[in-house]
Amino acid sequence: MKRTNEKVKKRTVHVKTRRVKPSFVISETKNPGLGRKPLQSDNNELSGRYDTTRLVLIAKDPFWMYAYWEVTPNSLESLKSVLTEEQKQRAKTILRVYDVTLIDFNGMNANSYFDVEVGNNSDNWYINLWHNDVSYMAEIGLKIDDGRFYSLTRSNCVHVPRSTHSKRVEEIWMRVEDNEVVSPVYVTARPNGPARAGRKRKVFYVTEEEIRRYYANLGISIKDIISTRLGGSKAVRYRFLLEGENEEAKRRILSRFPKEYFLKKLQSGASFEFVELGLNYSGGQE
Amino acid sequence: MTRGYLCLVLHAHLPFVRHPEEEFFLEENWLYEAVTETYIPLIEMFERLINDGVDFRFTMSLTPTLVSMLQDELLQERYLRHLDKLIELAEKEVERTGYQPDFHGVALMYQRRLREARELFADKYNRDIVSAFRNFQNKGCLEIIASCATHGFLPILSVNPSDARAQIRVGVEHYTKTFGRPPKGFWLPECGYYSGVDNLLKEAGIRYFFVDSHGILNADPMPRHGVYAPIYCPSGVAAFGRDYESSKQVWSSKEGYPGDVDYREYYKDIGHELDFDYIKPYIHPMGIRINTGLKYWRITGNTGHKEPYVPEWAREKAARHAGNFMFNRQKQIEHLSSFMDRRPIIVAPYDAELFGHWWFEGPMWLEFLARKIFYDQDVVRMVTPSEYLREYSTNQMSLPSASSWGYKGYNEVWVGGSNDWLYRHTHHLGERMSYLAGTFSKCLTKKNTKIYTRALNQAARELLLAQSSDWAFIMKTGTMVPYARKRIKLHVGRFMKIYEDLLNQDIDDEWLSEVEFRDNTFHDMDCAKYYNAGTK
Repeated sequence: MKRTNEKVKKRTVHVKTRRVKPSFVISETKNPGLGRKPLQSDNNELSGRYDTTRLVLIAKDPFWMYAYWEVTPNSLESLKSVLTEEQKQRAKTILRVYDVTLIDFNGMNANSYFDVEVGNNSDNWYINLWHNDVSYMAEIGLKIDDGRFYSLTRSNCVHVPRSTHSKRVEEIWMRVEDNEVVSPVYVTARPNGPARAGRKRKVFYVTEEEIRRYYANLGISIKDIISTRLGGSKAVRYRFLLEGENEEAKRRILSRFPKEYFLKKLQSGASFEFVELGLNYSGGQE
Repeated sequence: MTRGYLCLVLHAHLPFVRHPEEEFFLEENWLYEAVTETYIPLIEMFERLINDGVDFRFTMSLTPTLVSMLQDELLQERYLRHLDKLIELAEKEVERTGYQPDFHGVALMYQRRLREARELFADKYNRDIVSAFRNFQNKGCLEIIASCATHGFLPILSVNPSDARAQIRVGVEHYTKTFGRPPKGFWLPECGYYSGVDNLLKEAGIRYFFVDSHGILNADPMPRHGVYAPIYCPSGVAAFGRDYESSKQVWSSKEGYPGDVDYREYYKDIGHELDFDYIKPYIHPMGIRINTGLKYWRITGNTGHKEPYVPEWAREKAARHAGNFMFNRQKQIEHLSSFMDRRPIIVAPYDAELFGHWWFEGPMWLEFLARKIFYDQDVVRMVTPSEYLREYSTNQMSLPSASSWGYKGYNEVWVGGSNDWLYRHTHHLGERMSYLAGTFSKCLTKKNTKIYTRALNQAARELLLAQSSDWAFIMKTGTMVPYARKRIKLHVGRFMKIYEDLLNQDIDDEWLSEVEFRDNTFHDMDCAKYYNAGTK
């Protein structure tokens, strides 16, 4: 045991001479750990203010977002300078949260927005959301009596996660060799029931551009994107607003369409029902 | 005939804790405990399997901060000091329990294990146990995957794109240096995935990563095989999803194996139980009672009353549980392969520290599992993700949904009342770092501006250390909060000083050298270049 301790000491001395700087060691010692003064920079408290006006959004979960901000006195003053005294008195600090899903936001073209009143003294907020799988950007600023909003700064863009499974169920297959993508393909859906002669699954190559468009539109199906290549005539779709006195009436209307047409019911909100009719689709019904 | 695969992933990570400025530092014990109770037992297990010719496969991540600590001379030194003390204690324990048949066998067990651990650490691997894992990878039975530089939680860091990018690239570069080859797989910290991170991984040459189950199940479009086959992101990087069933059998505190009554009880440690004067030299020098790792009791039941630990019974249980796990995987695979047109893969990722540290019999269970899979059946075979991708290079394309494996499946653990305040600091630092890297980028290539280069790189290191997801996690779980807060303050303070010094073109060389010595992770790497938008 003793010998080991001596060895330990010898190694320690060796390490010390390589690394120790004089002004940080109080006493001569064989152990590099002892005697190091705390560094001056280590004792500063964190102020939380960096003298920059900014707003940052962080997604917490599908229905919550966290926002924090800093507004420098300068920014606030220069904004207030365009307001009258009365407007200044009654101005409220708000967060305007924009739904910017699939949009190149320019300040005016959001899908929708809502306001959150955050008070003049806070610097962070947890925002409750109505929709998941949405992209948000926010602005913080002052809203005055007549409803006008003066923005101080805009945040980063954040995408809130999806909380359920995707509605798209089609299959796009890809082969990757040596880290290079070889061939993304779309395969038509498996025909239901026993495989019949001539009802084979078809394979279509999908380009990178088409994949980009696939993800750049909400809910669009890959079939729509490559519809011109699906063979036969172009896919044509019509949408009708379905109106009937009651469910029975609606069902009667739908039953009047010939079976070769495929029919899809789309719900929009609680009160409207659209019916989508597809013609000349290769592959048959869904 | 093999009908399906099991991919066991062990994620080994510890935050970078190294305090040369103090003789004994309590939090450094995390490393020593993990080495003694998890990493060394895992190494011993792999060695035994290889010696016996068992063909097994594990996938393992060894994070850069953990590897840095394992390869640091000072910490290796301190670990040996710690281990020697522990051996001394174990020997006294053997003496003390001489007339207590219930405990003497257990004391002897600890003594033997600790002596063997010391031999393995100091003699066989010359204090560098990372080389052991490197050898296993070179032999082909272990696939080691990379991870972020300091285990930053990317969904939140992604506010500054350069932050996410640097975490990944520094992590990959560190891996390549350590293991002598570029990594194929990547462990996203906490499985924190957000759409776009796969592009960063692709740039770094990564071929696959892991996400939690709902990351795959909620992917767009919906994957046909669920979590039982990987999906390709549109970028071509594969995502493997965690299987809930196999996770539950190990992780669940109620139904999981580790809660079995014959296994060792974690919370009754002699560091807290024995007489203070006796135990004083083996706990913290300030007299704070800490865990020693020597425990004599078994779980016994859902009661406060504990019975003595019987190693033979625990071993029996481990064997039985391994068999049970394998049997369940067989059933699962048989069921899946009846409607899948390929062999399913069951991905079972766990924190490495679960095996050995929290669940004492864990490594034994792993060993029994590997042996039973190899010798007793042929339905399931162990596989690494790379092997699976080689066999099935065509997979469904789908975009995983943003997710994590943290509580509730998203980002709640890391952004909540206890820890949300720290992001205004780390994000700001990230922005400033980008600015510095852009402004001083010319210094990185010139020779006579060495001190600027040093300062720039140290700023990057301070930023990386501040970004560890561990600090937010500790604040959320409330375990050692003052330490986590201190670390954030420390790194933010040091970064801001370097930032100001650089802008004033007046760098305090002595101070910088001291900081370089203390925060010496990635000390021989150029970290700053990844923050420069111009670098590829």
